[in-house]
Amino acid sequence: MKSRSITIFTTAVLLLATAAAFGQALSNPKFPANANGRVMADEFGRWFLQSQTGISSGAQTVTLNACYVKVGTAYEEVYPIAINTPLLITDGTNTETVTPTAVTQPTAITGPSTISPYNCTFTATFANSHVNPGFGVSPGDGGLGAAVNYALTKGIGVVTVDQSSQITNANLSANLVYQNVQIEDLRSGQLQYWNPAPLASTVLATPTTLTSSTVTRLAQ
Amino acid sequence: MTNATYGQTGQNATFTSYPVNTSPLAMLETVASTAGGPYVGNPGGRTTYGYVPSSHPAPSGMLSSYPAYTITAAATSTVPEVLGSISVPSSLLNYPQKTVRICGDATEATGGSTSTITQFQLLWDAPGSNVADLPLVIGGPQVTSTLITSNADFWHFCQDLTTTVASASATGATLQATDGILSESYGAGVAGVGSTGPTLSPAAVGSANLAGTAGYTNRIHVVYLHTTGTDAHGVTLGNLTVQIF
Repeated sequence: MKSRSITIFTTAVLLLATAAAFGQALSNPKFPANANGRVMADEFGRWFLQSQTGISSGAQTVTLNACYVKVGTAYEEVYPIAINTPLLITDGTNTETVTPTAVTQPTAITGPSTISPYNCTFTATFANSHVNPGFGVSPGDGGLGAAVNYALTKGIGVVTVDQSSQITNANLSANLVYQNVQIEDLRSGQLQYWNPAPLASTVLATPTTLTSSTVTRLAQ
Repeated sequence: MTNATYGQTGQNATFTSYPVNTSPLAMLETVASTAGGPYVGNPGGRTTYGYVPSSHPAPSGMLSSYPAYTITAAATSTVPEVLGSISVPSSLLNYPQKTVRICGDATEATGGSTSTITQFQLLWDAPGSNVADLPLVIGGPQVTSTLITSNADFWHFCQDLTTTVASASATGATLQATDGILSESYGAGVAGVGSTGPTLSPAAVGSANLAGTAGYTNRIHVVYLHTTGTDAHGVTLGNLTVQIF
């Protein structure tokens, strides 16, 4: 009987470790990802992936140990990496925030068994080197960018930021603007909205007038 | 155009009549419109955008506040000038009783108008419902009061446009300028003419494309229109707000 208990315990630990390695079961969802026509931003801010290899500083491509994270009480799988959505690189004193300049979408891996059933990468410019595999990759903006991208993809107009989120005013101001996505801010007692608005007074320049010209065919 | 290699010269295209243009207006800042068309829209696009805090939500697909538009060319008598063009998402107004309220200020720096009748018109601009570069004139508030050249002119207006008939077709919907008001003065600290008055709702205007057409942007143009004389300066539209209810 004792031996069976140990086996069950060991299996549970292994399952948790495997889940952690895949970065998919670390969240503790509180809300549906799409609650009453609103995207709950906090659901997109509680994931943690790892790099499969170490990298040098500069422009580098990172291969992740898992691609999809689960959000909401329905555990919907979402790929949270996107261009212009900042990522926090956790690596001791070399911890930094980077913004991907290129992202590959997950593709199923065929052939020999691998750590992750999918392959996905992102490219960014790193200030520090991260020589050891396994450095952490998590949202650099509390999940706001991924939530806004999700809202845009699903055609949902409002992203809600509640008191439990780690999203800051700086994250809200820096997020890429989409005309059809509003942000509803419930972090304080007063309901506040964050709406798209012009930041500069500079008007878009008038296009240059096209001119006609004579074209001479080159001799062959 | 001449092709020197093959000795070919292009010929001028000949149109036997004025081409009917049902597309939205061209957008060029500080370019004057022409009475009877074509009108030229005044774009408000800026180089950068971001999320900013606000006490109220913006209408879906629109801004919660609009920065000042580029000053127009000086208006001549009875010739319209588009003060500002507002992009409106397709189908946003395509529901019966859906109303858009547009308010704003307009200023003509250091004077220059001898207007006797001034109107701020709102025009619905969408493909299919336009004819010969002219959007649908829905209406707007008008004031009869003579301005003096030496004073800086200032206007404040508000106008509601309400959908009376919704339609999926390009010419099936109707809009009505329901409630509007316009005040006119010489600006702060200057005694002088000033006149206000509500406008009575004109009849609803049909043949509007409120459903929108893929690939096109729908707009509402705010137009300044006056009689008598040529203004010495252009007009700047500012403090523009748009509400949907």
